[in-house]
Amino acid sequence: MKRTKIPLAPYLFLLPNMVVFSVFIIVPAGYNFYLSLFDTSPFRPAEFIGLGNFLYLLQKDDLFRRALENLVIFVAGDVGGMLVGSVIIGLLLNQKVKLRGFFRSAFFYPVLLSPVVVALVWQWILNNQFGALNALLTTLGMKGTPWLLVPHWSRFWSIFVHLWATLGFYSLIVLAGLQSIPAELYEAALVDGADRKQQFLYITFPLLLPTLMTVLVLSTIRGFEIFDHVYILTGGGPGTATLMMVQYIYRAAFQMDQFGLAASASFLLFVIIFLLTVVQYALGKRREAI
Amino acid sequence: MKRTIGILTVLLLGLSMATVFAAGKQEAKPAPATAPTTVRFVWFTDGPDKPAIEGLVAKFNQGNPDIKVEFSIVPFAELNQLLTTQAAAGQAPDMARVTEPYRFFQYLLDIRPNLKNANFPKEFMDEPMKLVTGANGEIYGIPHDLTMNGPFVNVSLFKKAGVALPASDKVTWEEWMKLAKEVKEKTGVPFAATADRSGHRLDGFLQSYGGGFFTEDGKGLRISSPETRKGLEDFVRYHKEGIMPLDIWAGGTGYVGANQQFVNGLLVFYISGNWQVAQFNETIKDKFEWKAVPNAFIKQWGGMPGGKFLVAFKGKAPTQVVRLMEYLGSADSMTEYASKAMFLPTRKDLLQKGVQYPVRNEDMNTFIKGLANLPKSAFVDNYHLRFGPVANEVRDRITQAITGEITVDKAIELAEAKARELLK
Repeated sequence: MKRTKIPLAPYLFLLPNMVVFSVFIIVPAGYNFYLSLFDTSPFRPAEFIGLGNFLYLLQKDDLFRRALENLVIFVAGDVGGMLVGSVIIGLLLNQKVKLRGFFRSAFFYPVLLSPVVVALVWQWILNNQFGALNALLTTLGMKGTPWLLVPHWSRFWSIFVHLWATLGFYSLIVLAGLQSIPAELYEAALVDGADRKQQFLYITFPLLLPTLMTVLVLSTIRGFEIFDHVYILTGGGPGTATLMMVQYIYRAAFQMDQFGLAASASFLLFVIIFLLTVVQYALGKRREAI
Repeated sequence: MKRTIGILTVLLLGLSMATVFAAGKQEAKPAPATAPTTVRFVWFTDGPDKPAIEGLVAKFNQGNPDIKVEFSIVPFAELNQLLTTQAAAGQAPDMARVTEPYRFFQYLLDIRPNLKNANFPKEFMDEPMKLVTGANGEIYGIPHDLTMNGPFVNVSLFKKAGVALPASDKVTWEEWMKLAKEVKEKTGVPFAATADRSGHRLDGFLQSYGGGFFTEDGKGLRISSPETRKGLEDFVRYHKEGIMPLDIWAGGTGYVGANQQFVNGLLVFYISGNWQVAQFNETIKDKFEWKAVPNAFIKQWGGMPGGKFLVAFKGKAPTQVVRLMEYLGSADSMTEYASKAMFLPTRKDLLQKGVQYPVRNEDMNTFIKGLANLPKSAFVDNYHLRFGPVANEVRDRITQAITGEITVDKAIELAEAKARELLK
């Protein structure tokens, strides 16, 4: 019987990337899990406590629960907004209008900005005393609001600013998906008398679903990792109204010197994102099979 | 053919990896004997100290041609995590200016074997020296400058409002808040009073009530003592009554300063510290009249000492690092630094002799007098090894109480529980 030769070359080409991936992702992730099993302090050797940190986080730590709750609210709002917003903008950018190129660039520009710059600018716009938004409202005869000092407004603006900064990226993905839908389908639909709403519901949306699954997966992962925009904009405040998981981890490690606790929170976040990704992937596969 | 391509691919990969490793190895070769030894010195600046320390580093480089000090500045907010990450990766600088030396103990160099003057550590104030002393007597650095918390008032606003400043030095926080509120209402400025968002500032506020975080022996906690509780309740109440704005303390985590509000003439009464004096002198100039006033007195004087430390990290140039440290810690260097940067010196001889400041001498002496009046509990708290995280926890829980997320009682309960954990 002829033995099949396993080609070596592809694996050799993948090897450098796998080495880098192992060194910068696998090894630190492994060490993170190892660290999460210890109670650490700068003044004594680390003490092995097994799952003690995880039990503490899940049963006793109100700030961890608060961060998780805030994160779920943020992701729900952010991902929902991203899906709806990217479809609307994608549809608009797909129209044959003058200066279409300019509009496509304009929607993408915020994506190129540093999150720190975005958050600082919006912090200035939303400032209670000197912000541009309150100044505009006052000029129009309305009362200003301490936007970043009221919990529900602070949460709203955290989501809004993140959407503003990243929607352009997902809109381009949706635009690419829209452009891959054959034009003949719309022509045939027109011939059959389908209006724009029916065209959207029966052609655009079903064929755009795989693209939307990509947007859903990417935006969910990015949502759970949120840190920079919110940390600069609100600092997690007012109080802990916008305290997110990565900020909790940062605080536990660098402000409270509890590296073991921070590592366990980090591991739990990884598990949440991993499970969500697996579920979304499975749903996507099931849809393809259908 | 395929086999040949495969072999060539392997050879190419191997050659490129070997080149990378060889280049890395070449870069690791030590510098020739005649080149100066580089000493990396990381600093964070409060503003006026920058030209002072840069001047001293330049003088040291000139006077020590065998050493080259590479001086760099990092933002204070990033200092601890930057140094922790660098030290863990074996890339720590040789010397750094820090506020919490204990964080880096495992990476620090015991300077004693390399000291020219064995008595050098004894020339500095005893309490701050404890923070750079290891469990077995190791000396990891020196306290470089002392700070003192205390309030500033916008005198011009008081005059504009027709409100007289208190004649006595012994004024309570309640009295100050009442006056600040009256001035704010009469002048229309947005902010009556505030303190920097910092557990250190909060502890200074509490000291005047006889409150604080730790017991005198440093082993227990006083966060839920009646005195501390009263202080925290008042602090929260001032925010709820609108005397202190939410803008500073209602932010989430991290340090928030209110110096911009004061510099812009929008704040009547500002609890901060002496490190602002030089900056205010430069930025406020003649825009309005301002001055430092004593801390409040209720049961005792309020206020907190603070300090910055120079610490040496384990590295390739221990002798050179210690030489730099002895130079910067000498009486001449410290006199020059303290007077230019408008900081308080940490050498015993200079504190006794006094330092003449080129400007705002009266304000600086208000702080020096405040330092002399400080209760022992303030030193115990500030120089406690766990002060940093405990202060952060109290600060963040009080922020939650200010925003109404939890009650003051709950904030105290949660802060003390966490502090107990941290003390284990």
